[in-house]
Amino acid sequence: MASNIHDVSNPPRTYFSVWQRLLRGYGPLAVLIVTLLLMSLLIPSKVQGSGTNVNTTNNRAAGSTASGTNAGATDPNAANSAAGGGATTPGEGGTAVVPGSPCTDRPDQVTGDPYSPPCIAFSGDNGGSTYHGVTATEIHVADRQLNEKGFQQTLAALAGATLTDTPDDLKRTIDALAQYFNDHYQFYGRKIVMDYYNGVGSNTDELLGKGRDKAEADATTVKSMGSFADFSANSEPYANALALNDIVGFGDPYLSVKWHDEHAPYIWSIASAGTDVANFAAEYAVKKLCGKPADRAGGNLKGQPRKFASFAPENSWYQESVQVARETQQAAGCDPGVNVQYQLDLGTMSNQAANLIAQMQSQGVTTILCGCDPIIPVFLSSRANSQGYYPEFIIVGTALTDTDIVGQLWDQNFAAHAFGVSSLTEPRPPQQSIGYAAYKTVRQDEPAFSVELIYYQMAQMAIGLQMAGPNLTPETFRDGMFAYPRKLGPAGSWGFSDHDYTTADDVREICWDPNAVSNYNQKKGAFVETDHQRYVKGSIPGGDPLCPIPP
Amino acid sequence: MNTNKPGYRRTRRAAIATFGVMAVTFFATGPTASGAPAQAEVKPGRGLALAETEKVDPRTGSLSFAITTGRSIAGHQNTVAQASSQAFDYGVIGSTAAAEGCDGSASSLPAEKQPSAVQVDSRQPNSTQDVDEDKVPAPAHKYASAQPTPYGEAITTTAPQTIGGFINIGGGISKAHSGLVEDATQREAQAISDVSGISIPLAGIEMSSLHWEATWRSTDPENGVVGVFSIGSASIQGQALPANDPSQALVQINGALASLGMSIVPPRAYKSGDVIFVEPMGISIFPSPTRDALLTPLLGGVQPVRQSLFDALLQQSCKNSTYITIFDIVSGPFTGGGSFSVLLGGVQASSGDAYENAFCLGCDGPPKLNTTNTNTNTLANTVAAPSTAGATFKGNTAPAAPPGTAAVTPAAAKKLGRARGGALAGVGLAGLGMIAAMAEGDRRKMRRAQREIPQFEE
Repeated sequence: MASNIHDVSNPPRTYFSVWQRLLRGYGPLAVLIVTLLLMSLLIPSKVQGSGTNVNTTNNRAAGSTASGTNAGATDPNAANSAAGGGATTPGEGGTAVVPGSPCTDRPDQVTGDPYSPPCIAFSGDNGGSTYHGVTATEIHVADRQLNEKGFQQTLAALAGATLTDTPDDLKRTIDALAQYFNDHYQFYGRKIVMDYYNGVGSNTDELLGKGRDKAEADATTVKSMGSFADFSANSEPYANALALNDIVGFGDPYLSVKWHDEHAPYIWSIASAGTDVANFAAEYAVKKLCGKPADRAGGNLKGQPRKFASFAPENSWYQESVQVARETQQAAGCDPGVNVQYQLDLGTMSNQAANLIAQMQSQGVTTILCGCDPIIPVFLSSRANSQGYYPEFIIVGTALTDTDIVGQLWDQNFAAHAFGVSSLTEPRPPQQSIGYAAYKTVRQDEPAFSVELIYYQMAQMAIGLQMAGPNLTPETFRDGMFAYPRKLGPAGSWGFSDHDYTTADDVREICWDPNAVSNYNQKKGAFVETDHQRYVKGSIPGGDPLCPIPP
Repeated sequence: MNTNKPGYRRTRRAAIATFGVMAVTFFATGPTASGAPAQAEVKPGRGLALAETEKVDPRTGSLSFAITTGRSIAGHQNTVAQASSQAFDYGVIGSTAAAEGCDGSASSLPAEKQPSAVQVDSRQPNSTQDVDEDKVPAPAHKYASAQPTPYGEAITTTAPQTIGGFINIGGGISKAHSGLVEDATQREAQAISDVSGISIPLAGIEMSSLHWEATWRSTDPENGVVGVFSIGSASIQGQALPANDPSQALVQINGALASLGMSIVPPRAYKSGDVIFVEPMGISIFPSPTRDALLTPLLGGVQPVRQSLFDALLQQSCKNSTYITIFDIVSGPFTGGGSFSVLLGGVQASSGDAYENAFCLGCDGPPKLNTTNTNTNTLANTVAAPSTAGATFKGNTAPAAPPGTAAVTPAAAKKLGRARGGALAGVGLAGLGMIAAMAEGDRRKMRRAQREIPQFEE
């Protein structure tokens, strides 16, 4: 019979249970395997170099908003804080002192953002409530909701049926972009909080110079809400009312430098000041058109000595810009010709167009400088075509008259003679815009189609909020804007100074091509660039326009 | 004598575990790791389809004052789908009617009393709507659905109508969809419009079963890009025309319409950029030198008379501006200031990969800004000539997409959107090395232990 020796100091394996043996002998191996498996499954594969946004930790669930997310917020860049002097230089006459210091790890606040302000690190006390709508943790920004389509939506619908942004789309996009700037810009421990309210006014009426009383009522509402700023100052009556209530506003449409000066430091816009537009128009006319035959006109005007007409609404804030252009032309020895004015009244535009064409035709006008709205050329071109009257139509970029969707609405026989300058960039699908990229760092769904415009307007506001420093007031906001170093990006050259409260301080030369296909909507008719160059004031070269002479 | 096999049990187990971990690591770091798509998976990309059944289209310049009937739109972008169905759209005329009067009086037709679109979004909880249009006298139905597949679909049904007492248009249905189809293996945008028939009694003209179809299946660009127009039957004064060649039939129909000063513009199928269009069939008033020579001075050519007359009307009441505008629009075709058409059908579709975005916010380096003008491709270079057999367009016979448009690539042929290597590869290799070392150590230890265990014989 077999026997076994049992040594208690070296027990046989059967002395331990299966689990004890497993843990004793294979425990480390099991732990290693589990660890390896977890690492394999949880650590992502190699990150793609392009198209991947840096901030993936701030993604928010669908339907979330910027409001109410910033209580007790801490500055995202506080970790970069370093001892040092002020990061920026306050503008002339400024009261803002920026106690933050330059970041040690990067020059720009957001690397890859062409309009990013210089990076500022900050920690400490922001001063709490420095102005109405400003607390230690929040900056309240109002947004007026109206029961009507937006300006750009209306134009897009006129250009052809398509899916349009709903109010929910716009809100979602604004909230997401507010979150983006909260996450990436230096607001000194504060966050933008969007406060939406239902207004009683009408942008359509206000853009036509009506509805001032309702605009004022809406501005009073914003005041009562205790907002620092309003993101929807898209008409002169509303912007004016906001300024009178000491509220910073963004979005006014091509109002003059004089108007902005009178409403300083409150009203800002990504639409070029009307005066700047007028100056570019005058410079273009003086350098490229004056004293030469109207080669790009049609019919019996072709080759005639150029005779100009300035053409703009009769409202004083537009005529101020027209006068600047006319004086500039005159100073350069270039006769500005007749000053043709019209009423911003959709109901009478058809009838006005007939009279205006007759007036310009009788005065031998060969070249019209259009400082006009986008609809009057529809009627004007129609009437001109019926009269066989094809003057040169100089685009200066007011009210989206330099966009494809607007040019497509005009009579194409007339539009073939349109050329000039534009501060806009080439149209592109919204998905290729910087605004889309910013939205995608916050949400994984899709933004509104107008995400690019919303982004630029909010970027302008965010630049001022950062550059103002912690002591946020309209005055420090202005000083911060003036201290912002000029930047060049896809929306042109941005810089702010005394008498400059708007963006896009440069232009490019464009021509209307009735046969080109628009990148914006794939439809026939588009503005095309000539030399792919952008020109700041005073740098438009001489010589003839580079646009081809129409047949 | 006992064998040594029991002493290698741990070694075998370690070896099995090692190979197991290797297998798991291979699959975990392979193409399907980290949620990466499978080889055959199609990315949603983007798409848009639009179909209309009918449009009464007066124009000033190129601005349309159209009243549109039966519009269906569907689109998607990545995981979001949208769809819109609108039975009637009064367009600019509706917007004007909804505005308050020039004298502050109430609007003549408030916006809430006008027909409106149902538009749905796949992010909404109620992303399917199926309703009758109750703000127009003629029956109409609207259906729109948007699912996160993504898949958007719209179907709009309209009843027969008579325009101006001289054109009878049968019932119509427009359909549009955009998104992933066939179990998410294909990306497609498709728009279809069907009109049951049209008759112009004064000329004895009848046509039935008019069909427009545009499809852009970007996962099959060779065969999946199609534009079609067809007619079921056509006749003049009861005499049947060959319907298998719509172009020829329309030539004969235009001959019969000439006496009425009207013509039918045949639909054209063509590709522009990355969009396939099948144009609507236009019934238009054509220019007549005799008629227009008579009417033009009367309607718009005598400016002093017109100006004084209309100024007087406006002084009487600012509301007359509306009538003046309508007069200008209606007289446009005769004065050269505009046009007037009745348009039937009309579809377009487009789909493709999502657009690349060059901005990397927070990344090093400047964005790659495209400063090259891509607008200069004229239609002459991108439009296919109308087919002699009606209007058809197949992707494999189409001219190449112009520069600047997104290339359409079959999803199955594309490279997958992630890369091997990186930190995880190092982790995996180190882990495998450690396991192998442990297994070898264990094996040697067991061999030593076996040599030290006393052997007993029974």
